[in-house]
Amino acid sequence: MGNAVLELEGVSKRYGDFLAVDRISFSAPKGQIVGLLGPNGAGKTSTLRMILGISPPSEGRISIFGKQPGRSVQSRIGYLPEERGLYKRMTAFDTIVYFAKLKGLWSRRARRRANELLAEFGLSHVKDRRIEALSKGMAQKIQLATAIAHEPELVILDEPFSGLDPINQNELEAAIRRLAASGKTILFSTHTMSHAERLCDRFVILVKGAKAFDGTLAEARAVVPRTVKLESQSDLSFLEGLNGVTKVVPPHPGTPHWEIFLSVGTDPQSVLAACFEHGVKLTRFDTSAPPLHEIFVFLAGGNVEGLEP
Amino acid sequence: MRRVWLIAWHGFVQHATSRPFLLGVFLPMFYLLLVGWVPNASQSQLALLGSPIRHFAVIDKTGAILPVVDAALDNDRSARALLALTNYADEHADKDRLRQGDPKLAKFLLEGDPDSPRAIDELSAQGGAISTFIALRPYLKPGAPRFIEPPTRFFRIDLPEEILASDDLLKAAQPYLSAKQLVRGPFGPVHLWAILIVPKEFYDGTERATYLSDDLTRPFLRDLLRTALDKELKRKSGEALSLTPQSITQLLGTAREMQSIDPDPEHLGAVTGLRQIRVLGANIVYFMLFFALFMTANMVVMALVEEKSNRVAELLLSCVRAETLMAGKLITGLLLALFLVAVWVTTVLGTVDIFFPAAKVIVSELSKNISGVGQVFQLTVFFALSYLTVGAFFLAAGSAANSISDAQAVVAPATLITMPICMLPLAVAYAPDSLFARFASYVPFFSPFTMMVRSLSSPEGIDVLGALVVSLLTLWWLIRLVARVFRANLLRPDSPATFFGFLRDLWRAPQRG
Repeated sequence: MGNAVLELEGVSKRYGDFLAVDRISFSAPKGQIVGLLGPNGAGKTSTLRMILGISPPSEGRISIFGKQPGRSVQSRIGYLPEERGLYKRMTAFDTIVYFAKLKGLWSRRARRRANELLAEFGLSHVKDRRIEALSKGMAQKIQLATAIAHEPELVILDEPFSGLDPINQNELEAAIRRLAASGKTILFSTHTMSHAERLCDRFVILVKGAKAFDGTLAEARAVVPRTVKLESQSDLSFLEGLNGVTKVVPPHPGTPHWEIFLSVGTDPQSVLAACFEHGVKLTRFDTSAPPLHEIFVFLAGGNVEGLEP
Repeated sequence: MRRVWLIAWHGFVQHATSRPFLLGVFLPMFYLLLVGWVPNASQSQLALLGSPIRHFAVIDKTGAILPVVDAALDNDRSARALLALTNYADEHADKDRLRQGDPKLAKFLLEGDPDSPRAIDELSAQGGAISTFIALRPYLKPGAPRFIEPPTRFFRIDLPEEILASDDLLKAAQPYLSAKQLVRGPFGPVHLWAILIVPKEFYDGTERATYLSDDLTRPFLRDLLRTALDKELKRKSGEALSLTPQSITQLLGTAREMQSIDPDPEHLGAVTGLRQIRVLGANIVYFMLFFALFMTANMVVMALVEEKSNRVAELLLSCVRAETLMAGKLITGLLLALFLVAVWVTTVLGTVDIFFPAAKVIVSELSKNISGVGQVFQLTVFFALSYLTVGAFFLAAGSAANSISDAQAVVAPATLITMPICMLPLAVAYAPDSLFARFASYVPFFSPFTMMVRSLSSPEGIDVLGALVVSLLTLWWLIRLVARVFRANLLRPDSPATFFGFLRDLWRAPQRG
């Protein structure tokens, strides 16, 4: 990709005999939100650490802004780690200022940015409060503020929604959207599919350290067999003979719900046409796209421990 | 470098304002106050520990001994005053000017034998110590302190009626001698140190004098009284032989003067009270530095382990390189250690100055170990090198730990290993210029610690330079080694860490490149 901010080519990571990441390749185009999805132990955090230059890859190549991870690009990246930890005795303001300075901002600008971000996240009133006195949601926002205080071009968020209540999750989603709208490239890992489905432009799905998918949601849906849900009092068993139909699940006794499984690439409209041909009366014809969770389950081959819809 | 400093300063502020550190900072002052105040809190305790003034009583059944004892006490005061005055003149007088301006006084104070009876008589003839000091004053060096006459050692008091009236003197005196009860002194209740009983038949030679005390291990008062009684008996014998009083006085005062010379007064091998204080002082200073060093190194390691366990380390590593983080942590520890030592020195000096002015003499003697900015700088440099050596080793050990219990498993054995390196140089304090001390100054790892001790006694310049080179080279090698271990271990997920695992990491570090 020509405008890719981040590119990985055949990247692997080994810890002794354990292969945590297995020759993955993907890229993150500028200004897009890319989701790194996978169940626990899929290799997401290891991948993010390699991108950050915290741990070197065992093999393969990583390019960020056309350079290798490390000192030269550190100040252009913002990072929110998975398990949030801040200095408990520091105030919210000092925390943001400290990490902004470590990222290369001079004192005056760091202080100005801290004030701006506290106002943006609605936390100006807790500016001088110690981290240990903040609620989990507030601390999470402070953590995000520390990650973006230096106005990075690439923001990496490792499981940003974990442990947050729905209200704080929505606020964090909004903050991520604002970042993307301001032209930042965002790479975030999650095992919660609903957030990824709402936020991401692209997905990279990891299963047991290997890449199972890389593309948009529409592309993901195209590679997953479709299901058509029908409601009818008639017998629809004839659909088994239709080209592209892999399975017909009859309704439970007393219900009219049929489920028709199609092979990849089969147009669901062919099922509707066949019903018309047989003069069948339908009360429901549902070809809605599968949710990301179903796509993931299909791609992961059932290996979805720790995955949340 | 800016980021190293940011991490170092942040760590310093975080630690320096934490309760455990503040406790460590102010505990020594508290202990000092405790040690000073508790005895003062109870006169009885003070008496048990021993007041600097020994109060004693005399039961004189001859009716003639009390003036003899009082004269002996006066003589003792004069002798001590003369000794103090000659020492004072030796240190603070401009000897050439004194010899030119007042040759007689110069001969008396600079060349005389202060212990001889004739010198004490001469002091009395000059009007006592204070009059002699006034005569000496024009010949003092600029800024010389005022001469202070040493306080009285022994003070005679009257016995309580309860003892005098008792049939069993020993039983009646026992609670007083053991300080369970106090007697009335000139300025309040005091401990009765001893009782001298002189029987009526003392002059006949049929009865002996008796000295009663609860502590016979300190013989100064007993010896003084024995000598006084002995002289009195000799005087009486002279009278019995029909000698004139002048002849008797001449006979008793006959003594050969003795010259006392220390060929190398600065050599610490000589065992004198003040020099022992200096050696002890060197050990105390070194021990405090050593304590500050380990305390702060441990604090920094524990903070690192906490940062690892709550993933702040990961956040930091997304901002800076592992080596930058390590350098920042090392400097944090160094700043803390220097701050700790500075606060200790200030608070101890302040506490002594405000609460225990009498102890100023000891502090003054201790401070002779460190004279001049150059020596303080030298001590600071070797202290810093010592800290960095221990701190780097500790940080590498701490980087292997993922939890506080891991840290204890790794850091505790690491402390035991490094302790001999730090403790062995204590032996150097007794002979800082010996061959052993000079050899140890050039041995890697031992070098900065040895020089810390030797810095308290002005070592030779070549040794300072050599030790500096050895210490810097060792530190350079060690930091390169442990930086590899630090970088590799900081985010290593496998836990728990073990000490042997850490040693293995150190061993393999050179191959990591």
